[in-house]
Amino acid sequence: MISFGIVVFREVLEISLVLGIILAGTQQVANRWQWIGIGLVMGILGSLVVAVSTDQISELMEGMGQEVFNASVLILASVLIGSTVVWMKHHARQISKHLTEVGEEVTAGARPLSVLALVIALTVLRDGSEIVLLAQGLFVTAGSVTDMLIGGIGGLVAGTIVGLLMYLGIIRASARYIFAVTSWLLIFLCAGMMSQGIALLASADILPMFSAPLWDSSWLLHEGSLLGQTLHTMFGYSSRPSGLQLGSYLLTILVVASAMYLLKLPRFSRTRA
Amino acid sequence: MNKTNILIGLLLLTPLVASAADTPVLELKIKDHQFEPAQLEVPADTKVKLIVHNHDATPEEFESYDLNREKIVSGNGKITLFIGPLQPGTYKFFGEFHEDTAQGSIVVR
Repeated sequence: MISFGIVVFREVLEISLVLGIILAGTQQVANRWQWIGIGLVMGILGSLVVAVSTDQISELMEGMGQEVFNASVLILASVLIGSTVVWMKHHARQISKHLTEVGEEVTAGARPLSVLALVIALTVLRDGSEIVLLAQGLFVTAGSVTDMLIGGIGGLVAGTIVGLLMYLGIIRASARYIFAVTSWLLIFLCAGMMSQGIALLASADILPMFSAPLWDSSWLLHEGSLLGQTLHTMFGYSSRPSGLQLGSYLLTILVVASAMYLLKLPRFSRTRA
Repeated sequence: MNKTNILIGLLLLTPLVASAADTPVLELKIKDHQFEPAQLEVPADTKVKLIVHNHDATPEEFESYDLNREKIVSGNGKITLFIGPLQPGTYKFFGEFHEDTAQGSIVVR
């Protein structure tokens, strides 16, 4: 079942790239693995619930429920990631590893931990529900369960490896500037999610303006290609972006980056949460 | 805010007023993991409502990079999409869950 494996790979790749960036970006946060685990479990359970409720979700908002649901997930994840980047910059010293033994500092770390779990759950949920639906469909057609397992596990492993390599790559390659590099990767991720969410709302006719594509770069880099999909996930690449998409992308970067650098000013960095 | 901006703003709003009643509706069927018809014709610069009916028991994902759309159609279910206004040309779409057979295109004239 190669085609099943490929679809699983694509969905897992998206999840694992996002997780790779988030995990690389939250390295300084103590006690995070337990919350990452909670996030993964919530995400997998959420995928099952969403997959089972596809019809009900679809019928909401006069047939635009899927768009609104996915847009909400993306925009919420984007806001959480953006605020976490700013928060981490602000609390960089408190959450750095050598200080985490002090009880007070651990409490300070509690905020990004629960947010971290939620972001991971939202990430897994969006693409995970598609894998569940696809697998369910294969069961209905009574295909070979062994083939499905082989394809599914193959796709899962391959997708996870790419994400893992990226996680290790980010950490190794940017040891000196790890905080700046991961902050910016998180900002691009956050902006990409926001623009995808906004594009979904536009496709549901909720934000109807500026929908014509600004350019078409699909001849250069197709979104369906491996590189295109990777850049889509990491940087929000779209081969035919609308003005609304590009505008929301740039605006998100501007807002998060300026919040991050404004909080570096002495009068802000002295305040404690 | 100068006069030109306000004028452009108003022009952008006009399709909103007109859209609700006269949006053409097109229907598409999925059967045996294939689209029927595999090719749809749509007038240029017009917003169109596309209803996709899935006659298979298995879910499908209607996906199009050209149209920037991605939406799940559950087994024996249907979805509604809004497409356009589009420039003339051919816009491909496919079913992500059965990409080898589920292929189609929208031709805008």
